[in-house]
Amino acid sequence: MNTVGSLLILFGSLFMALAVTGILRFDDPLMKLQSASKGATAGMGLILLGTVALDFRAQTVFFALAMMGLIFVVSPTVSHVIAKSHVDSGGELSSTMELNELSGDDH
Amino acid sequence: MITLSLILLGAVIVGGLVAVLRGPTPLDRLLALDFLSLPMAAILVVWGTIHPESHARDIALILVVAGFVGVVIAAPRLARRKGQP
Repeated sequence: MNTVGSLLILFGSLFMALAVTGILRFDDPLMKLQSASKGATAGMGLILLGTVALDFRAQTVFFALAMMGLIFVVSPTVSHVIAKSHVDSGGELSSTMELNELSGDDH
Repeated sequence: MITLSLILLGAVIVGGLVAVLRGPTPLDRLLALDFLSLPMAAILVVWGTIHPESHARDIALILVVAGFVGVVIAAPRLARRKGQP
């Protein structure tokens, strides 16, 4: 159980490293947002699973569930707010974008 | 192996700070700052699991909530300031 927990925490840290690589290498804020929110949520989930495997007590399990629920609510909300602000303020969009659903006159 | 994970998370935080310094627009910086709250919370969670008598996990919970409120308040203001001529 100890090895499994440590491995899960290591995989979660690797997911976080992938997310920060995406933030550093993409050039459009919308692409950066995709990498940041998905990678960080996956990494945090794996790390919380690892802490549960390391220390299987009621308070750890409850904390992991509460934190995961909080992050599942918070992360998409923040991504949506930042992306909406970017589009509303007339920020430049990627040249490879094929469909812009917010480009109508009323959204 | 947990020490390696903590070192990796520290490197992730350094990379996020580089992204904050480098981002060309204010929204890029805000995005990187929002991302930074999660590796910091992850370090606190791992530390709080190794040392269960510390209060590190409560700090992690509050850190995530504070980052959420800050970004939700700051992002529309930045957009409005940028949109006005």
